[in-house]
Amino acid sequence: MNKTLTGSVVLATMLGGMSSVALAETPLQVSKPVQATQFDLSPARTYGAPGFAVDPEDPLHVFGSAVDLRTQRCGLMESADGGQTWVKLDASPSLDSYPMCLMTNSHTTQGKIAFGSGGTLYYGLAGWDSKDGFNRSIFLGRSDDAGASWKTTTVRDTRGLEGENQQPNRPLSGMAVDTSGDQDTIYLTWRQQNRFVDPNRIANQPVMAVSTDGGATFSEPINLTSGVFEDEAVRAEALETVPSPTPAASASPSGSATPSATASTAPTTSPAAPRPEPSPSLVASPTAPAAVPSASPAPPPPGSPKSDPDQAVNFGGSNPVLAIDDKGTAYTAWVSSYQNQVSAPNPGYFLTRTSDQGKTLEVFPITGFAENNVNSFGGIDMVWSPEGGNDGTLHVVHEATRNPGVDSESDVFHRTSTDRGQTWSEPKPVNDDDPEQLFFSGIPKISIAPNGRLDAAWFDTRSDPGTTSNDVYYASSSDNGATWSKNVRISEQSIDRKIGVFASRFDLNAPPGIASTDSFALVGWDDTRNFDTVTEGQDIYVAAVQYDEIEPATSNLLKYGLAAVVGLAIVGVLFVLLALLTRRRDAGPAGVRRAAPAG
Amino acid sequence: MGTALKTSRKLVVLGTTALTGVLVAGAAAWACVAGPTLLATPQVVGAGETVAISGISYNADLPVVVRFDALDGPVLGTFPVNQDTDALAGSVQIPADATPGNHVLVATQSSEDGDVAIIPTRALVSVAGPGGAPVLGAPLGESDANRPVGLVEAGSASTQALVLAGAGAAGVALFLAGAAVYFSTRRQPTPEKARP
Repeated sequence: MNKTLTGSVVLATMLGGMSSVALAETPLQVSKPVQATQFDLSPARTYGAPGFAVDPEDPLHVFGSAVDLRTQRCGLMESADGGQTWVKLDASPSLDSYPMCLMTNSHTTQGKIAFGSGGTLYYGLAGWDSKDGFNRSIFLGRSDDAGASWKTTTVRDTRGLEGENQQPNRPLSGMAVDTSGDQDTIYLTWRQQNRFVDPNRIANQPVMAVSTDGGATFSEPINLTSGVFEDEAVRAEALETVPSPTPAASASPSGSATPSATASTAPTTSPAAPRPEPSPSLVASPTAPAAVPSASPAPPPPGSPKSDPDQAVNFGGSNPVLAIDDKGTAYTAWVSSYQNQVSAPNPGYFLTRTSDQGKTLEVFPITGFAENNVNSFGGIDMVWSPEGGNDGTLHVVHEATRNPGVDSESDVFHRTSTDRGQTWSEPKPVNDDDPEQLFFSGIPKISIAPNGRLDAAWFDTRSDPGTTSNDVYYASSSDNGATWSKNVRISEQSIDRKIGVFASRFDLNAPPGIASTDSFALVGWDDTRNFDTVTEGQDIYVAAVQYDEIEPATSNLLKYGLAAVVGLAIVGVLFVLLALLTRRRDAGPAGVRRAAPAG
Repeated sequence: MGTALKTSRKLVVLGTTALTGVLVAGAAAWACVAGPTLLATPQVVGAGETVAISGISYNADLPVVVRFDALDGPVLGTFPVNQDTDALAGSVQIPADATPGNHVLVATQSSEDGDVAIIPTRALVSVAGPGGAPVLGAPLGESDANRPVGLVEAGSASTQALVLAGAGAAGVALFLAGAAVYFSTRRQPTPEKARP
């Protein structure tokens, strides 16, 4: 039986391989979305868009983060049939003492999951309780039994920090696992905020913590800006984008620096200890005044962050995302953010690279402080592909606009780098709607299949008939990002965003989740179709863009049937053998006698 | 039974309300501000009738222009934005010659040079037909309900059934043949030994 099944599998695989060549660029179908969260019957359920992780050993075995934004709890759901049915697992990676994991942010997935070596599943999450005030801690869950149980490590514990020292570490925006070594190396990135008050408020910082022992211990947070804003020329480049002259811009000592020259200068390289003490800029000054906003019109004290916008402490970054190449180099992409500016400069996207688990960092500009960059708190994602040369290719998708000057308008752009992030291609829009109509296309996600196909998905208002709704749209590239497919609508009906927490007064949204396999891309999102303006809930829906037929999951009934048939056949053969033996036994003695010499 | 149902329903409503309150408070405190929105009330109107419009998160320094059906459609009205709340409120008259069916109100804000300054917002209105009956226009959001269910598998279910049936027939045939051979051998009388 095994041989028969194996033969069938081999034949089907060969046929499947042949068909995948012919069908690589054209989907076989887009499946009807299914309600993944059918397992939850609570009328108040409010799930955020999921993150996905595909079992490297079985592409039909998919895990998804299931985070209920209303109860603020992190969970996990599992599918054994390529996302067509789901079950919720009982165990949660959250510690009992840090039960909540909600991050009140937009543009980020709540709960990051990824596979490590040997089938280990990792779950990166925030943790807090009602007594934590603004503090948000960071944790990593590790499961060696497919999510049935978790061992959770503290990455950054902020419990007990008070007043201005409170640390809202949110959102946890990136997680990546390097499986090339003896033990998994895990990278977690987030935005570190502060609770300082005027005139000592400083910019948020993009930070990263690293574990080189499979998640048992983590480094202290490493600031990914790596001092890039200590460079006056970089700050001047940003400040020059402020629409009207400001005291800050005019006070810049390096206002004559040309932006293009600055953007293409050598990378900023600086050593970073693996377990550095928190940067002085990230902790409260002991001389800082009490947390009472000044009502006085008096100018800020000299030396304070607010006294001069053109200081490094007023420049930072948000929402770093991660990618790992095949040599173990970690790349983080993040967007600049500002503090104490009369008018905020344009956001700029940066890349920070480390080849030694965060000991040394190199920072490169991805976009510069471009006029069409529209999002200073994320809207970016990145993957690495082995194609495109010795160093492979970094792919970034990010929000920007084809219509600078139109507030809140957004498109999804794609850029590539084939020299490990040092230089980047010109941006190309991925969404193909009519730019004249000024629709919103944003909150993008990118993923890569084992065969190199790139999948991108985002939210889009082109199909909104005027009901404050949006849809999930998708495009793929089978030539390493040189061209992108025609856009495909994934949600089969528009999602009413007057309901739920995606927009309006909440703005708790996340990019669509993507699980990329060679045969299909599974796309998941938060959907309000089962709710109304009273219940305000959200379910997770998933649909598959299928490129190749999948190997059928052999049902138990079929297995039992085949076993019975083979059993009957074996009994039949035994009967024949018994018959032959019986005949030989009966005939045997006569022959012997015949052979015996006559007396 | 009825009382228990009522009680549990009350509990659900209360719980939902309380949790929503917590979420609203938390979100309002920390979440980012979403883009502008536009609502029209009532949603079903007759041609030439008036609908109320409202919205939030507009640029308070620029007037809002409401057009009919397109970014460059006929202007139905121009409205100031509340300086304190960034909100929009007013009413517009649907054109008397509007055809029955679905139409869209499009709100834009333009800078002094005439360029659109903020992403347009859209609100659906359905113009009633003769006699005031609602008329359905194009499907809202162009629902694509005829999608295939599930993933396409290599080898359909009928092929699997055929393979199973064939294998079953072969197995049973082999069993019967073997049994027949065996039992016929057992029943076959032993040839008598040659007597001298």
